[in-house]
Amino acid sequence: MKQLIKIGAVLGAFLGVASCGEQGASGIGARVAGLVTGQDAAAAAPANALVPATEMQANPGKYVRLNIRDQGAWSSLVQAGQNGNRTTWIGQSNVSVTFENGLVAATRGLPRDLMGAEVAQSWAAIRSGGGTAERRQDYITDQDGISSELLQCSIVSEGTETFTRAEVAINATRFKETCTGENFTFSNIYWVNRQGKVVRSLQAVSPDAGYLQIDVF
Amino acid sequence: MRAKAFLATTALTTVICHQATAQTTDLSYGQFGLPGLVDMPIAQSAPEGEIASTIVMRDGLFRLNFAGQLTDRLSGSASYTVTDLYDGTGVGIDDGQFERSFSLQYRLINESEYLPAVAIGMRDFLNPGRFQSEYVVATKSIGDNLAVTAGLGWGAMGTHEGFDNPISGRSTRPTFDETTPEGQLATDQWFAGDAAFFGGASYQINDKWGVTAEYSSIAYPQEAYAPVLDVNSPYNFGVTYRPADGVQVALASLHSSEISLSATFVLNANNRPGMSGIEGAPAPIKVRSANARAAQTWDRSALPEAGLRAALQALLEIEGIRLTGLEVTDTTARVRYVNTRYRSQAQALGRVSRMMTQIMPGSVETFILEPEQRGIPLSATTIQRSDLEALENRGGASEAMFERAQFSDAGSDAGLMGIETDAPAFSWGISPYFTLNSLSTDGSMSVDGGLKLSARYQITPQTVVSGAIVQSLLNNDGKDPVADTTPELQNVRTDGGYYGDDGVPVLQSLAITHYGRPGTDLYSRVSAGYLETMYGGVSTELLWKPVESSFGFGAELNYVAQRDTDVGFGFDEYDYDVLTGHVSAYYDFGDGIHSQLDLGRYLAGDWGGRVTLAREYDNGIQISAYVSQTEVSYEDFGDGSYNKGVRITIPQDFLTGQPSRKDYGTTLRTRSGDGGAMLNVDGRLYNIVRDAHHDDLNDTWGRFWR
Repeated sequence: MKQLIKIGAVLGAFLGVASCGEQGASGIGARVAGLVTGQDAAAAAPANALVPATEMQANPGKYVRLNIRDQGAWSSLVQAGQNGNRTTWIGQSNVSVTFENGLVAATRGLPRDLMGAEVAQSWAAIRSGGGTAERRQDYITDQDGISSELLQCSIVSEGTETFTRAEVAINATRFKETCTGENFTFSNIYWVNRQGKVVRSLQAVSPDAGYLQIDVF
Repeated sequence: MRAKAFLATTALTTVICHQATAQTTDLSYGQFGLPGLVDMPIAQSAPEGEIASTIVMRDGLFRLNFAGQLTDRLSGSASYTVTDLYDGTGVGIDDGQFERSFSLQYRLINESEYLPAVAIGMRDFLNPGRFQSEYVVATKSIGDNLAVTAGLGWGAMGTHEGFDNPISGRSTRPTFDETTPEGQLATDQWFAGDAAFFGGASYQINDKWGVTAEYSSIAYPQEAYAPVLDVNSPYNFGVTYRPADGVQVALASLHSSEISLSATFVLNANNRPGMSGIEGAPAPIKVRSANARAAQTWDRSALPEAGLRAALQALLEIEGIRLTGLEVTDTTARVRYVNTRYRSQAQALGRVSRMMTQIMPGSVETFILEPEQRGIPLSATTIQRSDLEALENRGGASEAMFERAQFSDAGSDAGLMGIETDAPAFSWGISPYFTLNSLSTDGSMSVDGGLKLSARYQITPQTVVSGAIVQSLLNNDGKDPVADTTPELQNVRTDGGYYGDDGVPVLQSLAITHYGRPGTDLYSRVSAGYLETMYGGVSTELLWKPVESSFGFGAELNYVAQRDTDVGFGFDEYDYDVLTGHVSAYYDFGDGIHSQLDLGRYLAGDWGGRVTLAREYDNGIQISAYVSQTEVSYEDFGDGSYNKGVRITIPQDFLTGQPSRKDYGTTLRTRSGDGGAMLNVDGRLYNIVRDAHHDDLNDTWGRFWR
């Protein structure tokens, strides 16, 4: 986040231009443009301030709330980049998560990052109410190489549920995706609302990085 | 099985389960560095990539071992031992004698359901040393916790209840000659003389505690120059305790006469504590709109080049990368930069590319990235911007990007707009230092430590004046160094102990160095001044190393004079000057095996060669070993005619997970005498250059997208 603030600030200050694709970056940049001139960005930026859930609720599409379960860390992410149907969000802890239709396609800044993934079949199965899917997930190794995991997944609907978030009751269909590969196995859970959007999920990154709980507002 | 569990919001428990096979407890390390019982070896070996250091202490002995599992089957270790030895009469005792030894073990047969693992090994194998032994050993596991070992030993390991050598023709073992303690490869001794049986067992009670018992075949006979240890019985017993992952503590009873305490610290090069690193997320690729991509030119009035340059400079600074040159045409942007943060140049390439996408005009499709060190460009990596856009975060992106990237020699300076740096031309710093020197020939090791004041002044990016003033806090004894065992040769190294031992600050180095690119694939260095503590003069080097080649060829020629022992400006004391240098061939075999061959003339005017072999892990851990030989006859050369050493390097980011280009290294070498001595000049070309070449980039390419 700190880094992104700086990037935004640099872009804002030097170019004075902003296009549609960089709302996150230039938005941040505009807010903290003063930081670029030698001031300590860390001191100026609110230290790890988690945006209150009510504010997230009041600004749909602006925030994603992330809970890195293994670290017990919460952060509020803002949009930092858009590449086709994938959006990268970044938060104060300098962790970024890239989503494709709400499914985690990549992470950066975790102890064992998901460097890239193909998750289109999983999303297609969710859209059709269940089914099977193949995923490819790339991880960075301790030897600075990439290990690829081919996973066979099955997605089942577990019925509708209502949960309350920021004092708002949300109706969603719960899906469970169980994936098995040569080296590990995991289960993801997605709550999909009536508009077909993943509003909450619990998704595996890697055995070393654990699970992410993701709330999309 | 390793599992990460957590409680979900819905009270659902979910785990990511590893399907990997169950892992057994780490093997216990013995007193000679490799996994073993107490004093005796076992046939099993550590997992590939494991590195262990062991400290052994008992009355009359202190030993430091470094061991590495070099391949799946080959293990090696280096040991420094300070021990009491019987003197020449075999009656008196010389305290605290210093011994160095190298050991190897190779696992011939893997353990199977009915067959034991079988290994062959040699301890202290290079020289006819005090501990020299050879052995064949078999170990069989019974269940998960018990392992039983039996073996046959020669040399020191054939001294208890020894019998005639079963290998015919090797019934007598040449005696150990104290007057030539080191120097010749001790092949005559290998597997010669009496042999003896040894054996033992180890039982792991639980994760933390284990017990060991062995029947030792080392009798520690009381004889001239032998290690001192009373032997009341052949049995040794040990208890091991593992307080934490990677730490073992062992208490052992030796021959019913001594108690020893040892501690082992284990790390595995394949198991990085910082895992994939904890550096912050990079900037996402900024994808161009269709219109921007279609543009043929860029509007220089809307986005002036000066603004582009200043913005890119600021963006790269966030990544610890200094922009030194930029050339932007309508379709191509070429950047030259110095990466000061990332060990992996591939990662720096990725970070620079990401920043370029933030800012380069839409018509610029081709990025050419030229990493620079010491003022010279090392290579050019050409990347298509549309590949960055298409491959970001996709499965298989790393491999695809490497295939699509093109690697070549860096372009010329022509067309490149230089970037004014705001870094000061003059910089300095004070740091503590600590060194272990094994220059002395009497078997002792000298330790030095103190403060170092370093300063550098950059005249141009390629030309730097640098120097260091050193104040030793330990080396102020003013004592004479050791006896010279090679009177025929100039004391090019054996007088090292005279240097800077007056307790006052000394001028360790003060030299001007110029790096250059005299032609395609060619790199040059000229250094002049006070190059190192003992020598001053001129050192020149030329390296030929194509970016995509695994082969490099270099030549170094130095004309140097021996400095005065007060380490000031003078050269009068010795009146010795010499033309020294060598030609070098470098080859990267792949799979982490690197080699170097140097042939040439050493400091004392002697001729010879040196072979270096290194096992380098892609994450930066290196274990290398070298052997050098000179033409000087063994009689003249005496100590150390076969110079050899082992070096271990661990990069800082391996330990911390934070990006850094620093590393920590230590060299264990045998005594270095006056023969086979090389100039210690700073900044030799090969390691600087290869860092940004194809093979090294490939090694860490997994970091490109990180």
